[in-house]
Amino acid sequence: MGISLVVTSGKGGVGKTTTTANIGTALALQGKKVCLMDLDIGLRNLDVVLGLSNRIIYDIVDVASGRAKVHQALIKDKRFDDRLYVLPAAQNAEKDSLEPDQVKAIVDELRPEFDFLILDSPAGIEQGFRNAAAGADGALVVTTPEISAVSDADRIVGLLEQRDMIYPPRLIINRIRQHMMADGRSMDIDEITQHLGIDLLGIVVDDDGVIASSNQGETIVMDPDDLASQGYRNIARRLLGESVPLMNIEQKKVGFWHRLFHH
Amino acid sequence: MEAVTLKGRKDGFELRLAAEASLAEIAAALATLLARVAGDTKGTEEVAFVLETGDRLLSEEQAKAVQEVFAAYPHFKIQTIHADVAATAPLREKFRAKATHLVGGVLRSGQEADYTGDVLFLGNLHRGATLRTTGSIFVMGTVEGLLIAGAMGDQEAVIVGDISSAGQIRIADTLEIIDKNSYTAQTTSYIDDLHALVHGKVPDLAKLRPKLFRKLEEL
Repeated sequence: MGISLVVTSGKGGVGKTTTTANIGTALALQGKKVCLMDLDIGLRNLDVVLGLSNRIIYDIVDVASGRAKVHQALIKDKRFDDRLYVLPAAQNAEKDSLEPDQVKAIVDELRPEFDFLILDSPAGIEQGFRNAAAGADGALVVTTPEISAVSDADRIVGLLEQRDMIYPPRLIINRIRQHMMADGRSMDIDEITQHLGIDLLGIVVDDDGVIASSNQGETIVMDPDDLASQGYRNIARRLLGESVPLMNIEQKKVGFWHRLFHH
Repeated sequence: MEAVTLKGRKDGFELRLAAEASLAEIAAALATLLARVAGDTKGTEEVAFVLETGDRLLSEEQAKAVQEVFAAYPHFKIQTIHADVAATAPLREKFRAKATHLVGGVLRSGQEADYTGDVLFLGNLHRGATLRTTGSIFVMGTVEGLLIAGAMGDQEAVIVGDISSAGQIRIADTLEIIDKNSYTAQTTSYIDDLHALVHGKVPDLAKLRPKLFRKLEEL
């Protein structure tokens, strides 16, 4: 039976969809069978970053309303054999055209066939978030080292804790700018983790490659040498129960001569 | 001018009900005429009449009044009632179903445009947008979204024009996901005899779908 996880953040633009796509890809590369579900009704993106938007025939609202069977709506990502599937959101439906019970039913129907079901929640704490959370056994809270993102993450953790999920929420710190963290201008990893009071699942550095690859309809995880890719791969391995040490992201200290000539 | 004239046709008899005459006049004239015909044609063999009402549309009540005259002669039948004119409302519907709509402007992600009939698309269909019609689609604009022709199941519908950057095209119950391709403005997409969505060139269209060029003749 598969485990369902919701990827959520409260704040928009911190990388929920990117995280969903990359963790999903990383798990598929590890040989797991993964289903990604886009719950952002009206503003779907997951299909776009995976380069699958042309293949959509039915969406999750079609499934929920009985117009299509769930297997008709699932899109197979051919790059990963039979291991990565996407259930796209509707682009032209109203936000409230999906109910938490319907999402739970869809997740439960798919559960026997997959190892992981990852639900990409929309930003906010309204219907879309409630839908995504309803189907999940656990949550991955994504934040960035910014006070606004951390504050929203705090609110989300509070809402998640009221839900009595099987697994406690775990934290992913995304878009870490190494040089800013090194010189103390951005919030520290330990500081964020301690403040939120949940386990840290992994960290991902800010990387131009993430944007570049998603513009190509690919995920950065496919590039094994990239630093952000390694962050996502480590997260996937930790999800599978491996114990992987946290990546060392400290940049080389800027030397005196470097300072002298580069200002 | 007689209120009712009897004419012989290849396939039977025709009764012309003069549009200038009043209904009462017509009923009276019809009664006399039918009585005479009944007298001339001995026996009870069935005789069918086509009623031509010319420039008048009979209302249901008026048609009933005419039928009542016929009721006295069980072997006389009204085959059809036909007028040279038509009401505008159903005609407009018919026109709309056969019309070619010019569609321009920008259709954005999540937007859907629905038409009855054919569409000449001159606008910009963004990724995630849908253009749907019951008839055919002729693309002269830019299409990156979803095109649906023959939305109510018309197998004869076609999509003509450059679909190289479209996401998907659907005709009736067939569909194609547009991946790498070499489609051009000359591409004609249609359903072939084997019920597959295939592509030809514009010059083939007259042979493939001759009716497309005779739309107004068939109205």
